[in-house]
Amino acid sequence: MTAPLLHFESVTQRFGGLTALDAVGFDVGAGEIVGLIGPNGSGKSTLVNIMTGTLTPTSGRVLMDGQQISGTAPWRIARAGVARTFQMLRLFRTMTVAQNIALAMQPTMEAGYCASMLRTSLARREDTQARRKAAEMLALFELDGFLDHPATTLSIGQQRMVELARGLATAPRVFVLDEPAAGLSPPNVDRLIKVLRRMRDDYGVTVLLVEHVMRVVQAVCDRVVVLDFGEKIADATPAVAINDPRVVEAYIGLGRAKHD
Amino acid sequence: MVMIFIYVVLAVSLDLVMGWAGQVSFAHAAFFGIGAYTTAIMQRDFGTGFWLNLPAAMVMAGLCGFLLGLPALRLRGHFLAIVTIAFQTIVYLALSQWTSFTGGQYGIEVSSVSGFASIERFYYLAFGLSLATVVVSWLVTHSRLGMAWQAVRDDEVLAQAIGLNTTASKLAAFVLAAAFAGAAGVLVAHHIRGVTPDDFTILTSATIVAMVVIGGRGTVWGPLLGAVVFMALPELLGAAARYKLIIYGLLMIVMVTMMPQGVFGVWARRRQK
Repeated sequence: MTAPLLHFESVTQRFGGLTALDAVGFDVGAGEIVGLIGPNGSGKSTLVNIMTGTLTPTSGRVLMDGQQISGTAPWRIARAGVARTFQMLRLFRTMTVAQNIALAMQPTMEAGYCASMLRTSLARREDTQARRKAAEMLALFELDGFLDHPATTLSIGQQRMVELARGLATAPRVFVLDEPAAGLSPPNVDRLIKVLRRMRDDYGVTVLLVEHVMRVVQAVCDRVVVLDFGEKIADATPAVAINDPRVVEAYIGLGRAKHD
Repeated sequence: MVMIFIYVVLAVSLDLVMGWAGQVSFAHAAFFGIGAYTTAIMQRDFGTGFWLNLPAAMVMAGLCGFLLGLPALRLRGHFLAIVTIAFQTIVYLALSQWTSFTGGQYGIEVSSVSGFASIERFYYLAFGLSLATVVVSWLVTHSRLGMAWQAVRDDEVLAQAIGLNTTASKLAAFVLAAAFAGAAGVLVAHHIRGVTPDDFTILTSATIVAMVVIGGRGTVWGPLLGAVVFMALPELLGAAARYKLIIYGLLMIVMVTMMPQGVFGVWARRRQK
């Protein structure tokens, strides 16, 4: 395998006396969909927050393409090509769907604030392109026609899709998804699976997926990393990982693991 | 009329910070004062005129806006409000106590603007500046910077996650608003032909905040309306004018609880439906 796109190097995070992550290390190759699973409180969200710059790890680091990204400002990490969604739905409430998506593309545009204020031809062209891109994304997520709707008038499932469209519109190198299937109806979960596969196959996006819905994990993940109490207990294909005795123990408890 | 235009500049520019970027500031009168004193002191010590003092005062006030912005933008909500109140108080104390430089409570005399000495001609000058403020504010808020401000206002964590440098855009709002307030200060100094510290107290700041809130935050036209109504109100009230602060206060409480989007905000929403 060539050098990995993402390299987690014995990442440790302590909150006072609590060790949320204990020397967790793994790699994510370009174009992979890697699942990050584990029981509640196992450190998944902490790892996502370190990866996206919300937290600075106590020790260890995260490299993207050999460059350290952990410990820098969230907006710098975003500009380096890391898009994310949040566990709780997050869209700009006062904006339309198109504005939400176009705004995410703003850091990738060339025209600066002054050019935009003076409505130069470059700025206008970029704005038109952003709108076209937003429309293209909505088509991909089967949300045609919602372009100018206020974001908060859409259903929860649709808003989740807008979040994904917002991230994908920026052509990210890595897309970190924090429980995208939470609260989705079964048909929407199917749609999510389809979209995740297209992200990897058609858009070449590397995905780090935190997810509790095992159906999604099994359907799309090339590999899963399993965390339990801040430690990595497995790193394997989904099929292998869910039969690993340590994983079964972490999820279901000791008794069941011995019976199997 | 001139005072209405001056307060239009103040209210519309404060709205950039309060309405668009969603940050609280009770220090707008401090920048207003810094602008006024810059022109007064420059005229006294260097004999410079209005057209040189105006850009100098805008730069000076903008610089102070930057200085206030640096520590203040790490804070949010009430804490930010307290820091801006502290800044406002410091500026007032400097203006009233640093007698050798600012003239203390007696202030400094300022001459009229050559060529605009008559009230009619000064009126056009004030009108021009408030027009420029409204036009620039409209352009900025309807550009990418305006979108970035709204993003900070709606959800700062998300704004950062999509790669927006929220500190820089908030600083830009503070600096721009302070510079406009500085320009308003230059205008008022030459209009009333002098500056005294009591024109730039926290009460002045609170009045500008009230204009923004009652007119409608984040709308450009709302604060404009707020400024006009507030400045015209004492005339309309006649004998009741001595109770104007009580009336302002009550109006503010009623507006914040009943229609937080302000008069213009409510009207704009009605029209959308």
